[in-house]
Amino acid sequence: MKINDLLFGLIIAGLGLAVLIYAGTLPDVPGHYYGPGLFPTVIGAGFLVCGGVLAGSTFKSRERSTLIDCPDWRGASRGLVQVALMSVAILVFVGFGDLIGFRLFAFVTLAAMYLVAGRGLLVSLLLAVVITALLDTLFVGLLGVPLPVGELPGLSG
Amino acid sequence: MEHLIPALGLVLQPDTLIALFLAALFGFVVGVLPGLTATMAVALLVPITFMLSPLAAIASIVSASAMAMFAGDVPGALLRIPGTPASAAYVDDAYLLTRAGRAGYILGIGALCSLIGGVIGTLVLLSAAPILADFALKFSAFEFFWLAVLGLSCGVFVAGDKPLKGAIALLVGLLISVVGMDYTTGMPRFTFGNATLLEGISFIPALIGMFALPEILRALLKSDRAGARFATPVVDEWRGVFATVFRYRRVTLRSAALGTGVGVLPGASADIAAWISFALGRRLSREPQKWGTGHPEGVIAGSSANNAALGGAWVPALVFAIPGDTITAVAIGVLYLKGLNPGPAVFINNPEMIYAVFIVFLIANLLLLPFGWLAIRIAKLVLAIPQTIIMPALFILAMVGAFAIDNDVSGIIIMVCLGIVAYLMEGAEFPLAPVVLGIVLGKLVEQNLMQSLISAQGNLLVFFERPISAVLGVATVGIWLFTLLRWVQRSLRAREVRSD
Repeated sequence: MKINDLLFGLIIAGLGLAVLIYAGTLPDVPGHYYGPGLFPTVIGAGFLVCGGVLAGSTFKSRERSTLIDCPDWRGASRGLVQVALMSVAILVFVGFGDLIGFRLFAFVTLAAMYLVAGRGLLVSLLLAVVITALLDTLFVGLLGVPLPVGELPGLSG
Repeated sequence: MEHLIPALGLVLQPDTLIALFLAALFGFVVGVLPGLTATMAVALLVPITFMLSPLAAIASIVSASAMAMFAGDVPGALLRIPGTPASAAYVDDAYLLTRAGRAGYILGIGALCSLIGGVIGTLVLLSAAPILADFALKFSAFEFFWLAVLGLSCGVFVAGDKPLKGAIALLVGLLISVVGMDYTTGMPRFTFGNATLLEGISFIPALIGMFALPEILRALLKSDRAGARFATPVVDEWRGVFATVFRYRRVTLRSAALGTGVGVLPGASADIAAWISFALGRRLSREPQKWGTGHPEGVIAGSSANNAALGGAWVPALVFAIPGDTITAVAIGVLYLKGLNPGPAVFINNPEMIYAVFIVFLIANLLLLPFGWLAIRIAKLVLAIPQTIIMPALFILAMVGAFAIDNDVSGIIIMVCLGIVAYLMEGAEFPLAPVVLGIVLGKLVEQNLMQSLISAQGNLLVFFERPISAVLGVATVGIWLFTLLRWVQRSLRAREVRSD
C-alpha cells in the first residue's frame, strides 16, 4: 500500500507541527532555554522542514499519481482472512491473554490460520500442536520466560 | 609474554572448554531468535556462572556474546528480521541475497567477517588495552554528544540516494526514543497519562514490530496466483565466500578497526559500530549503487564491525572496570563476584588470568566458522518450509518475543502500532534502518546534549572547546554541509536538464 509522497510529506509536516506545539507546553529548566522541550522541538522542526520539502518537491515535479495506491488484493482472499485472524488474535491476547493462557491461544490461532491457508484439518492441528510445543519449550522451558498460564480449569498449565 | 604459557594452561582445562562450547551453542540459539539480544544471552547465563570457575565464567560470557552477535544475522538474512539490533543495518542486502538463492553465501560471509572482526578486536585488546583505555577516559559528555550525532548522521547516509526520506525515518526513530520520562527533569513526555509509557518505548517490541510484522503481512497478502506457497529457492554452499571476503579485504579490515575503536568507547556498543561502519563503507565504496540491491559489501562492513566492537568493549571493562557496552556491564559484575576485580591492578596481580581471557576470546571467535556452517544447515531447513507454514508460526513467535521483554501486553501493542507505521513507510519507499538507529541513539544523544548544555550553562561554543570534541564536531558539521551542498547541486543540475 503506497501513500503518495505529497500526502506523506503533508502528514509528516502536520506531525511536526503537532510535536512543536506539544513541546511548547513542556517547561524549561528555570533561567535557561533548554529543558525537556528542547529535543522534541528540534525533532518537530525537523519533521516540519523535511515534510514540507518532501511535499513541495513532489508537487513541483508534477508527478501525478494516486494519493493512496492499494495493490491488487483480489487474488489474496486467503491472505486477507489470515490478516483479519491475526488482528483478532492480537486483540484477544491483549484483552484475555491471562485468562486463556499462551498454549491454548497459540494452538487455536495457528490451527485457524493453517486451516484458512488451505491445509487439511489434520495437518493444521498437527502443525499447531508441534509449533506450540516447540515455542513453549523454548521460551518457557529453556529461557524461563513467564508466558501467561491461563486460568481456564483443566486447560491451564 | 611469559604469561602466555601458564595462561594457555588455564584455558585448556575441560571445564573451561566445555563451558565455552555450550555457551556458544546457547548464544547461537538466543541470537537467532528475533527479539532476543546478545546482552540477554549473557544476562541469562549469569546464574549459571555462579557454579563455574572464574575463567570458565568469563569464557562462557565471551563465547555466548560473540556467537549471539553473529547469530543475529541468520534470521535477518533468512526472514528479514534482524536477530539483534546490530544486524539491522545490513538486513536488506542479506535478505535480497537469500531471495536470490544465495543464503549459504551470505551467511558464510557473515560468519567469516564476524570471525575476522572478532579476532582483530581481540588482538587490539591484547596489545593496546592500557593505551586505548586512556583515550577512552578522555571522553566527556561533549565528545559523546558529537559521536552520537555522528552516528545519527550515518543513519541518513545509510539511506543512500534518498537522504530526505532517511532523515524523516531517523526523526521518527528519535521521536519514539523521546517518549517517556525526561532524563534531566523527570518530566513525562508524550505519555498522555499512560503509566506504562513512562519507561519509554521498549525497542525490542519496536524492532520486532517494524521488521517482522510488515514482512508477515506482505507474505500473507501476496496473491495466491503468484505462487506464494512455494519455498524460497535453494541455498547454495560456501562457494565464493572466501574469495569475496578476500576481494573486499580492505573493507573488512577497515570495518574491524572502526568497530574496535567504537567498542572501546564506554557506552558505544556493537549496534553503533555496525551502523557507522556500514555508512562509511557505503561512502567509500567503489560500487555504491549496488548497495541495497543484494550486495555483500554492506554485510561485510557491518558484520566485521559489530564483532570487533565486542572485543573493543572489554578494554575499558578490564582496565578500568568501566563497561564498554551492556554485555561488559554484566561481565564486570561477574568478574567482581568471582574475585577478579577489574582495574589496572588486575594486570599486575593476575596477569595469567588476563591473557587467558584473551585466548578465550580467540577460541570463541574461531568457533564462529563451524557455527556458521551450522547456520547454513539451519538455513536450508528453514527455507525448505513453505512460507504459508512459516508465517503464522513467525507471527506467534513475534508475539512472544514482544511480550517477553516486559512480560506485559504493552510490548504487543507497541509491536502492532509500529508494525503498521513501518508497513506504511515501506510502502512509500522510506528506509527503516534509520528508524532503529534513531530509537537506539536518541537517548544517548539527548542525555549527552543536556549534560553538556548544563555544564556549559547553555553556551554553545563550549561544544568545540575540548580538542577531541572540536574534531568530532567539525567533522560532523562538515559532513552535513557536504551532504547539503551535494543535494543542492544535484537538484540544480536536475533543473538544468529539465529546462533544456
